[in-house]
Amino acid sequence: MALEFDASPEDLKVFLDEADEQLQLLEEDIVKMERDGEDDELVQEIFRAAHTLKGSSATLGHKRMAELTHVMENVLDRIRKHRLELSTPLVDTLFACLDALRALKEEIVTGQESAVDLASLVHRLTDAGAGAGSVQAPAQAEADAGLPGVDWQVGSKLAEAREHGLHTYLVTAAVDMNSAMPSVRAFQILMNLSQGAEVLASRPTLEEVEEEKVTSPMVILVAAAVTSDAVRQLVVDVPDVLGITVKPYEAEEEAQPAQSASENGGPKQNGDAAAARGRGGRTVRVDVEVLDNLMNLVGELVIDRTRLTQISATSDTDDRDSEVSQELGRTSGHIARVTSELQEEIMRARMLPVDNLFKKFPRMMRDLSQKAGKECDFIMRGEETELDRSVIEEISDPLMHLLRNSVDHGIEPQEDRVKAGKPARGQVILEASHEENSIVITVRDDGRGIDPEKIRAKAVEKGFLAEDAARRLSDREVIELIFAPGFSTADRVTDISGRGVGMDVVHRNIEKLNGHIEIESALGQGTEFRVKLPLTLAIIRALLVTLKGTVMAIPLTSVTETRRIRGSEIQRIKTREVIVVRGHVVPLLRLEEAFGLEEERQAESEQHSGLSAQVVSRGEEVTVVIVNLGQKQMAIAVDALLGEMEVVIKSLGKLIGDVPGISGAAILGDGSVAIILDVPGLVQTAQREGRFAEPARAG
Amino acid sequence: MPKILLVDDAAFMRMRCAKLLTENGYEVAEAENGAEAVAKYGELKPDLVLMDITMPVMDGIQAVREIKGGDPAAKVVMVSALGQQTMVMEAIKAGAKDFVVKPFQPDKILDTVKRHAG
Repeated sequence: MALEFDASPEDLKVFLDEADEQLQLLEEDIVKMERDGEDDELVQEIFRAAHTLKGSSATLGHKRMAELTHVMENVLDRIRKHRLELSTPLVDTLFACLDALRALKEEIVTGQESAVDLASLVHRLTDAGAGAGSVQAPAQAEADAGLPGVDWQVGSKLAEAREHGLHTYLVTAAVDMNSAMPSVRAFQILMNLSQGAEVLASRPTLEEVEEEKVTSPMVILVAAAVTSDAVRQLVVDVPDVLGITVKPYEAEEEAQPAQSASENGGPKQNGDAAAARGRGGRTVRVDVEVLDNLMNLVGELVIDRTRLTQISATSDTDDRDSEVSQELGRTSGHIARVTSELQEEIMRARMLPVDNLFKKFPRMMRDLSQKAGKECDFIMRGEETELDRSVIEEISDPLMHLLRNSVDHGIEPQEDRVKAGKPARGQVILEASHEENSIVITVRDDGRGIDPEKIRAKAVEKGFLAEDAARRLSDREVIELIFAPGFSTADRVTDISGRGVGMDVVHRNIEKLNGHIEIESALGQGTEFRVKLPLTLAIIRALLVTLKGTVMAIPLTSVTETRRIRGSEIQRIKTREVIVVRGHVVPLLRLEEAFGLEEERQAESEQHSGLSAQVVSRGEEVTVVIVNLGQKQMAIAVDALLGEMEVVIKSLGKLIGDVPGISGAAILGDGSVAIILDVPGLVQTAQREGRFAEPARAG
Repeated sequence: MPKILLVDDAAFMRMRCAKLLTENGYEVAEAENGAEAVAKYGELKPDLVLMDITMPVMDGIQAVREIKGGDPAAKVVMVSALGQQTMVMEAIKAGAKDFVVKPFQPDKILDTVKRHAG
């Protein structure tokens, strides 16, 4: 069913942005409220957010949203007035409402009605409002619910029934109390009803009936797939019943809220919306696509800037006194500066505080620890740290996995913690910070830590390593095995995390982002995952090298150092070339072998313009670039180093597709194309070939 | 003509009830305990069973279970003395459709039989 709303696209945007804000605020505050108790100010804020949402959605004419927020508002109002206590089921219900509101909000974008089951949520809310946590006078509750004395612990059952598409009916049956055995009649009514419907609640209850404590009229709440008439047919044959009514159980409150919301919400909302627009005065919302295009254009400019600088440099030597030449020099210098600033600004525009990513985690962590039955505090730091939005999008899943992992495998059950003399409540800390040109996100828990011995044993058992090889590895190297594909240390599979596919995927995804992940773990004290990410994915600083006439770019984040070595320093282990760097044996990679480059192309390298090799490997000397991936080092032999440069990453496109060892291409200042090396990929290939499995020490 | 199986260990009860039902156009068969009722049910496939609760050899509740076990569509109405609510409920759980109380009132019995057996 298509939906239409009476508002201009601009108004809708304001509404959507505001709704996002309010929903996020609600989510954060509800988590806080559950954790820290019902602070008056906090509850007030929650109430206000719900109220604002109600008003806006009613004004917009989004009835279902208005309806739900109205009922939420009622419940929150009662919490605010201390007439209702917060309980875990109530919090769960509130979260379910937030999820529903998000879906309802999306209806505005998609124009399609979502599958949100409003009625069941409304009932869960009203049930929660009248439920066990209620401190309301019973008489009042009865009047509200219209169901005197019924045991109202049916909230979830009611919601569940509705989720299954069942109708709910309120059956009243007056049993002739003067007949023989009225309790058996009552019993028959309940039994008959349960043959064609599900009895959710009744007064008297079945137990009471069996104990012959019967009152008339009976009140029974049932869920059924059939019509009210069919429900009636189930019991109409029971003798000694004076009267039966079957009414659809749609509480009257359900019909009212939309109306009252639009009545009293209307005028008020105009003010709210105006205020929202007022707040938005200094910001303009820009489509992400626009930003991406800008970024691409700036990328082209960066290339031209470099080119211009080169032209200007070459022309200087020809005619350094000419006015034109000086002018060109000044202008190109200026353009270079402006382009750099432009690039920086656009990068900034693409930056978002990681808060945008982090804020969904408290709720997740709450749900996870609840599910795992563990007590766990979740602390976030550095939410203001900014990161390119493309990176933020990509890092979400890996982080989620790491967090899940901490709750599931890191944090111990409470009794184990107490036994180990640790605080009963576990702690998981998520922290973001800047570090030079990258951002570091750590996930740290104070759980049981990773036992290297266990992993050693597992690695041997699973055939990852021979026993002696496992023993030779340092504890740190052993722990890093958890990133190996197919390796899992989980003793058992739970539904929270770990099906043996987790960590290697996390590892791979992070490396795809040119980032890397490290792990520190102290047995019994906890584990820390350190994820280091580049600030942006679009531009990287790279070391340009040449090899057989091809220019290649090695991302600087992977480069440890460059060295010139003598041919005699190259040793062989079996057939593989290695060199020794500070006492460590490092495999030497010949890219020409890896990529199968032709010797003939060497001739072309001399003709290479502008960037042609200044340093050429002579005689026995070989230039190597030492790259690292986590703790692993590898040397790449090259012909020459051309220098560092910022390059704009271009994908190789579908035609070429994924080439092992190459992550993309960069266009250089002279318009030529450089291949960007995929260092993680190369290291992994080498690892698969067993080049790191050799003894870690030289001689 | 609807067929009724009367189950009661008291011959007097069976006689009075059988008389009432035959006079009103029903075909009546009799059994004097649960076990016999189960056997006869299988043979005769009656439209309705009127079942006493307290009987030797096999009580009415167990008989309901076995009859319903053999034919889930079987219609059984319990005949119960006052004060046997708990047992009646148990019989209903076992699959009995309804109950009538003793000492029986002819019109009530006929009502009940008519409702269930036509």
